[in-house]
Amino acid sequence: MTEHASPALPNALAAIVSEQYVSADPAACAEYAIQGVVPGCVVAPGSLEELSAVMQVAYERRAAVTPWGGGTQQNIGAPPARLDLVVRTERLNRVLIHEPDDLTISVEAGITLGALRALAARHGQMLPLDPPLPGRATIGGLLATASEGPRRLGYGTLRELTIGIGVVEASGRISRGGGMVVKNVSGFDMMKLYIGSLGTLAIIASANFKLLPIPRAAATLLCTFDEPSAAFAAIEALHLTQLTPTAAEYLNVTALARALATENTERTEKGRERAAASSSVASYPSALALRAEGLPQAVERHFTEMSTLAARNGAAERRRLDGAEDMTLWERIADLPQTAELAADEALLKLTALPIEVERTVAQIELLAARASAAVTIDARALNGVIYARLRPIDAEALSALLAELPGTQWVATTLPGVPRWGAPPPGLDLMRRIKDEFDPQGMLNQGRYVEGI
Amino acid sequence: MDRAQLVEELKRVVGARALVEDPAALLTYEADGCVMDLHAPSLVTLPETTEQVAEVVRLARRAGMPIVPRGAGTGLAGGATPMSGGIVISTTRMDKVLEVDARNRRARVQPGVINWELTQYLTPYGYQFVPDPSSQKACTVGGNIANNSGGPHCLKYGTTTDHVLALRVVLPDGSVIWTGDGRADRIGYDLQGVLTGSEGMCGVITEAWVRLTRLPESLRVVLALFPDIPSASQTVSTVVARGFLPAAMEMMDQLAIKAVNGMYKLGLPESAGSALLIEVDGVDDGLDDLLAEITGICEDYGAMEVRPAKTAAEQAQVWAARKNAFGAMGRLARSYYLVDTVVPRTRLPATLARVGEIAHDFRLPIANVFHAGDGNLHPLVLFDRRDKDQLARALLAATEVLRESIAQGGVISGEHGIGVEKRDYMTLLFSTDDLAAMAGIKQCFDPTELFNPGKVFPSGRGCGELAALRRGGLTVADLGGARDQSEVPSPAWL
Repeated sequence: MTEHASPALPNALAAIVSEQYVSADPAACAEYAIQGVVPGCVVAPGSLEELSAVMQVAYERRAAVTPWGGGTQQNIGAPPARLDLVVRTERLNRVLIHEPDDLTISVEAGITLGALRALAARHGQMLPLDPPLPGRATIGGLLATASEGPRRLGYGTLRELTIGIGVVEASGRISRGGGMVVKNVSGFDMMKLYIGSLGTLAIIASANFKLLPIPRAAATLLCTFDEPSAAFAAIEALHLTQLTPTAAEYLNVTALARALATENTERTEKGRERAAASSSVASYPSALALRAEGLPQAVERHFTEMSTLAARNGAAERRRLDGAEDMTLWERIADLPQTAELAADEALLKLTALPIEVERTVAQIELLAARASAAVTIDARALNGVIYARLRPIDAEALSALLAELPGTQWVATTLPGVPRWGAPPPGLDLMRRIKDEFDPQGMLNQGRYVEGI
Repeated sequence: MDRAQLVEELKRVVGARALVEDPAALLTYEADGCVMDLHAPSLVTLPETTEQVAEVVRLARRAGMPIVPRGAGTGLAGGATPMSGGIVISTTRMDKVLEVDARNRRARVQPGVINWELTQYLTPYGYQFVPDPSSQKACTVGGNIANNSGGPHCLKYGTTTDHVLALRVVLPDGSVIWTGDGRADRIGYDLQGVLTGSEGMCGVITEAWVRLTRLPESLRVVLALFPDIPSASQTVSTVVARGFLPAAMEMMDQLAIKAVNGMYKLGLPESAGSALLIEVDGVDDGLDDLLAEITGICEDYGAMEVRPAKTAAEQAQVWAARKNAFGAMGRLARSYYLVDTVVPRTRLPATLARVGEIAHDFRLPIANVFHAGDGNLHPLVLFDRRDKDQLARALLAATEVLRESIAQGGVISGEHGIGVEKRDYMTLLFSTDDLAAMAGIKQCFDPTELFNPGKVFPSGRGCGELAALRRGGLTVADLGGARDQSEVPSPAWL
């Protein structure tokens, strides 16, 4: 018998966090359903100590727990095999230390990236991380899913930016790794363990980051091409230079329309018609968004050279975006792979490839999508080899068939039942299972949701 | 299996010439650059292939003997010291660059490749392997990975872990895995991230895909001379706080200037209290203006002189002086104890002031040569090893530096690792629960604790005992509180 059948768990939790932050009401719990699985109880601890006490109670009662930050990424991973308790981190949203002159910050896991950005920006600083939905996504959730964004080309990912971490383990035990300095080899790198572990080892309670100064200048070159091969030729040419763009995003025609919010314009419609009519994938129009940041002179140099390089490779249109227009474009690009709102007939795939394989992989996705009669939105971090593809409409059977032919799939976010959520089993699976057993011996954290059922 | 059998088996695997069993020869392997504890291994193997390493590991396992992986032995924390004897696996003969894939910005290398040689090898391609520890002319890429090594340029480019894409590793059970293939991201737990910096306690790295970084189009180097340490450390703090991101920012104090002057004929005024080496890089456009702004800050804080190193030869000379400063210390004292700690960058002035007091309190000169931009201190306590009293004072002074760094919100190692040198200081920084989580990881990789025993975890509390706390299913309450209040001040960030 699971906990949610009895009132014992909510009562025990209410003794820790006060009644208003615990709910076992079915309607309230339904708001925290994960891919259709409704938790028996929802709790929102307000401090590290409360979180620890909550986890201790859950552990003693063998309650299956899912951590919940902004709830924007619960469609990643399989639906929970069992879900007795959702532990929300929303109230753990404090800034613990921000010493602006050190360019470091320590925050609780429930703070949203947007709130952290706003605070840092007041000091002319930034956490150079641009995943989807920053206004809602929390730091803890971003860490748990190893979220990333287009500017990883210039600034890296959470792996590079995280300098310390504090967690509450399954048993309620509090532990931490790293520190508040930018360089540190004191003990094992525990940050790496928790980043991308989808809350299956512990609940992330706090994290420390390196910050960077907001660059003095930035500009974006948005250029369109009549066919992907021209866009990728421009990428190849860019790769050969000593330029250091901070983002180099490939957008297919649908992604471009979404990034420009011109989905209903005539031009896009034409592009779509052309795409639909075309028998060859190679003639789909596409675009590149290339960003430079840094010193004003360096940005100008980048812009001029990237623009020349795009022209030389047959760019149909070249546009410069600055200021608010530039910001808006990248916010939209960052949001392209969001997984918070998925229609019942929709899937979002994350794939990785070697940079040189991106062109071929993109072509393959277009082809497979066309075969499945699904519209596809593709954005790719072309120089990093990270590709996102959104498919709709698609059903479980067509999606499974498509995945079987597509190498490099990392994960699939969808609410379609019976579709694999993760790519091929990673090497070292036995070791990963041992790690899971070590940190969560009862197997209660995000049960059955991770790679190979971990 | 007795020793004779083991020796025979090992010879069969690696060949007689790749096995060291002569007691005199084994003494070469009794320590690395840290000579506090000396323990000779029972045997040393020098395998050439991953398969040979795996076979050696399996044999050691059958014989119940510890395994100690070793690169060039340049480590300063005793990471390669065979604390309980056993079999050293030296990667010296695994020294090939196997593949350079510039298009995908990656190279596949064996662990015994010398750091400097890899960078030289990559230069014609227009790329570099960024981590550049001062020992780069001797240290190996495998050792860099095991220690998550740093170097001056990690200020801008990050430490070794940011430059490792995938590892091939022989695990303690003798199995072999590749953690990836150089593609971005991966699903599953980040084994490679955990292995990097695990000081040879979780497996032997036998191959790696490393990240290649495009050489910058342009760079500028200046050497700013200051009347004292506070003015230079204020400059560093200010440059960071104002949002400049130099490629490197390295500091030397008066003692270090004296030492390198003698060796490199830099002609630096020995009246200067400190010297700050600053490098900026990127596309050429704007670099001069950037440098002018930074030198402006130097002057604001009282720099006596700012010398640009204009030619490549001048730049190389300045860098050689910095990177060989430790060697130059031989001109000042018989021995030195290099203490590697990190503090938040705003705490540099206060910490360095305290280091000066510590030198005074313990009546030993302390030289400073360090990665100022990262807040990574390297006080060098100068002493004469033959003098027992000086040795004792040197160790006490080093402990004081560690305590002070922690008190300033810092940590006990920035790039050299914990090894055996600092294992007993781990409790100053981490609670029992923090250490138990790390020990848990170690146990997942190496349940029989045969890999590099006696490292990282405090000597009184082996990782087995720490991990047992968790295994016992004990909860926080059972342990009598989440933290070891007596030992570790709870940091503000948790």
